[in-house]
Amino acid sequence: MKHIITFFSDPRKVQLLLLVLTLALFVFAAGAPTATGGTGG
Amino acid sequence: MILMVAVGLGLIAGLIRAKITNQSFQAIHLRGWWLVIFSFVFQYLAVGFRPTSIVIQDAWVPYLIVGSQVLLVVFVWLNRRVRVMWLLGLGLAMNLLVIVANGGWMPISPETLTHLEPQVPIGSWEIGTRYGFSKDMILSPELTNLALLSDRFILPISSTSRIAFSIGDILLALGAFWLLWSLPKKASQKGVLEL
Repeated sequence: MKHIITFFSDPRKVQLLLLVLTLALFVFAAGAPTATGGTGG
Repeated sequence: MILMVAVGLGLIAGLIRAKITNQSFQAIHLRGWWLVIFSFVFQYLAVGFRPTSIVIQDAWVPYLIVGSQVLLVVFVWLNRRVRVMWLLGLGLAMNLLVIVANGGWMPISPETLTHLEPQVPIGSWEIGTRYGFSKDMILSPELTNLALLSDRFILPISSTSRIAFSIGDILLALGAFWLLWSLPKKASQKGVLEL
């Protein structure tokens, strides 16, 4: 819990987390791979 | 999912690079990140989350896909000064172009589907129907506009599972990896992040 509070008290680390999450969501929405069975790849 | 692996690998590679070169991560502020959240939610409901993708009629899916990707175009434009954003934008543009050119669906040919589902005979794929609950529409090559940009490449994941992807997807994976790889900077530079 302390580590989590320490992490989120650093705005630059929060900014990095936001960047990684944004990138992950971006590639999900921008990409169009499809897997066996017709699910999102 | 496979593209999110590229994000994870990029982060790991960036962290290793930062350790080896004794550099630190440079924090990047992305403008309009909430556009990506909206875009993700639209598409997740339409093609990612089974309970809602079953309910949403196929006629609405192209609007949700194209609409959400237009939000991403705005996001890329807002962040056009961020390094490597051009590569992500190019991948997005390629996918969006082929999707718009084919009525709001990513085309996939019966031949590609035989690699995805080898147990299904090629003749049993019905042209003009949606493949499962994906973004893909089954179209023969002669009915496909910009077929070069469609889901035509196959990546085997296991003996029973494979993934079909497009050139745009490759550029998106490279862009996400490259962006995270390029984050480590010398500690003397402004805005760096010690990890």
